[in-house]
Amino acid sequence: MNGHRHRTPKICGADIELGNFIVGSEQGGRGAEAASALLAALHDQVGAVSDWRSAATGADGGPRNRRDWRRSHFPSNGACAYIDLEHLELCLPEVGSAWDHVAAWHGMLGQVQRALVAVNAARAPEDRIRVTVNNGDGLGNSWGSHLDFLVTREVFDDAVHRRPHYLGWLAAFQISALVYTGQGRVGSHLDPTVGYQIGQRADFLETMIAPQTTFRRPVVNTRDEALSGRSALGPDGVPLARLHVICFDSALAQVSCLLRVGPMQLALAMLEAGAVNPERCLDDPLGALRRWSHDPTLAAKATTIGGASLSAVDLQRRFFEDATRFVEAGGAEGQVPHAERILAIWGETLDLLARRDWPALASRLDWVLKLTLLERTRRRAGLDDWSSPVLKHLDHLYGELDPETGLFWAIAGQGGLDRVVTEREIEHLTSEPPADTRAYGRAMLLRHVPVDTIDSVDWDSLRFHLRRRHRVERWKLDLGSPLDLTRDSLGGRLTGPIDGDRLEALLLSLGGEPDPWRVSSAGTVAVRVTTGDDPYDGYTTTI
Amino acid sequence: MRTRQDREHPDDSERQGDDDANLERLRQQADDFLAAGDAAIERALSSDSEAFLRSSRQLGGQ
Repeated sequence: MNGHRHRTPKICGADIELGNFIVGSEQGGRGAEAASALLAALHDQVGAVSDWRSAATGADGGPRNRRDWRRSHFPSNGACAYIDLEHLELCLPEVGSAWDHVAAWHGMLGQVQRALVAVNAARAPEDRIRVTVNNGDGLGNSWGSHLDFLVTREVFDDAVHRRPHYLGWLAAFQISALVYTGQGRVGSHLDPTVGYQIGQRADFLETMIAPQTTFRRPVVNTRDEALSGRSALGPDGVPLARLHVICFDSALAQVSCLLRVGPMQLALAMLEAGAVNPERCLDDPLGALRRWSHDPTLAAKATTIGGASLSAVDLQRRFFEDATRFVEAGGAEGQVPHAERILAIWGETLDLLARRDWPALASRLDWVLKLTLLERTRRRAGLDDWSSPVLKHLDHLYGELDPETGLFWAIAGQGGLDRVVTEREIEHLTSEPPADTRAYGRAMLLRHVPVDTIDSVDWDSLRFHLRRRHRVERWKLDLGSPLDLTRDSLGGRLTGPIDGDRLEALLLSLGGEPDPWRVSSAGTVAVRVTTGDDPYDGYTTTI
Repeated sequence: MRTRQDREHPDDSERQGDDDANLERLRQQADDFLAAGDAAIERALSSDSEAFLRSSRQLGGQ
C-alpha cells in the first residue's frame, strides 16, 4: 500500500442535465424554449437568487452563451439550476452521505416535477413540455449526469497525471459499476444487433481520459475546476480538488442512485490510502465497457491486465472484497459516512446480479426495471423486433418526469420499489440544505442577506456589496473548501436579517475580505486600503 | 433473455435454460408488480411513437 499523507471526507455534489423538448415540434430545436419555460416555473415555485451576469442576453435577445445560462441558486436547500446547451441542469447541494445525495436528488426532481405540471397546465395539449430523466434522445445525442467528489489535490494529480495504474484502476471500477448504475437503453448507434443495453452513456464514452465533456467523452474526466477552487485548502491546510465523474447514467431507482455515490466514495478513499491493486485494471477498458453494456444477460467477459477473464459482476465483486477489507481495517473512517451500510447494499446487489435474480433486481436497479417493463410489453403486444419505435418510445417514457406519463413514477407510486430514504428525508432536503457542507452556509447567507446586496454566487465564492454613505464596498467570501460553513461551524450566526455593519462583521468572522478592485455600481472603483494583517484594520476609498 | 436482434451471446448457450426459467419467473411477478405502468404503456402503444421520437431530438449536452 503506497498511501498518501492526506485524506479528506468524500463530499459529493452533482450536476445533472435533463432532457427537455416540446411535443409536436417534430424537427426538434425547441429545447431551449422548453428549458427556459421550465426554469422560470421553477423560480416561481422555489424562489432563487440569480447571478444575472451569466444571464446577459445577446443582440438577438437569446442567451449570449448557451452554456451556463440563467444560473440561479436556491436559498431553500443550497442547490442551483440553470440552462446548459438547451438542457435544464440541476446542481445538487454538496452532501457528505450517499443517503443525503439520494434525498437531495429526489427532492430536486420533485421540485422540477411540480414546476412541470404547473407550466403545462397553462399550455395547449399539443404544445406540452416533456422532461426526461435520462441521458440521450436515441438519435445520437447525449447529455450528462455528473457527480463531483472532493479529493485531495495529491490523489487527483496522481490519478490523472502521475500514476497510470491509479487511472486504470479507477477506470476499471467505474466501467464495471455499470451493472448497478446503468439506466438501460433500447438499441445502440454503434451496433445495430444490440436490442437493449445496460448503459445510456456507454456508447458515448470514447476515450480513457480527457478534459472535455461534450464530445469524445472520456471515462475519467480531468476537468479541474471549482467545486473546490484550484487553491482550496481543507481545514488542516490540505490542498483539495474536485473529481468530475461523467460516465454514469441518471438514476431514478433509489438503490441505483445510492450506488452511484457510495461505492465511488469508498473507491476514492482507497485511492487516497493507496489501496490500489493493479490486477484489477482492464486490458481494454473501452472495449470492456461496450461488451458489458451490450450484454444484459451479464455473461460477457473482459480481460484484466493480469489475464483474468471476468464479467462486470466478477470484477465488481473483487473491488467489493478489496473495499470490505479496507473498511474493516478502518480505512474509511472520517471519510465515508455509513461505509458498512454502503457495503451491505453494494454486496447484496452484487449477489442478486450474480444470481440473475431479475425480479428482485427490478425493484432496485433502473436498467432491470426498464427491461422488465419492455419485455412485458413485447410479450403482450407481440413486438419481437427491438427496433420498433414503440419500444424506443417506452424507453423515453421510463424516465419521463410527468407523473401521469412517466413509467418509473407509476411503478414507484405503487410502493413496490426498494427505498433507501423516506419521504420525510426527501422533503427535508427539498427545503433545507445539508448541515455538513458549505451548502448550509451558502443557503443561509442567501436567505438572510438582502438580495440586492449580493453581487454573485458561485460554488467557491460569494460576493457582496455594502453601501456606505459615500461609497460602495465590495466584499468576497471564499468558499473554496466544501467542508467549511457547516451548521456546526456557524453556530447561530446566520439568523435574522443580515446587512450593513452586521454583514461586514459576519464576513470578517467567516474569513471574508474586501474585494478592492471591483468597480462599484456608481462607476467608481472602491479600494480597500489595509494598514495591517487584519483586513478590517484600514479604510476604504474610491477612485 | 433475448436482447439482440439476430444472435445470442456466444457464451450464453449453457445458461439458456436458467435464463428461460428466470425470465418466466420475472414475467409472472411482473404482471402484478408492473401493472401500474399499464395505463402509460397503453397510451404509448396507441399514440404515434415515430412522431414522439422525432420531436424528442435535442442538442447534445455534456
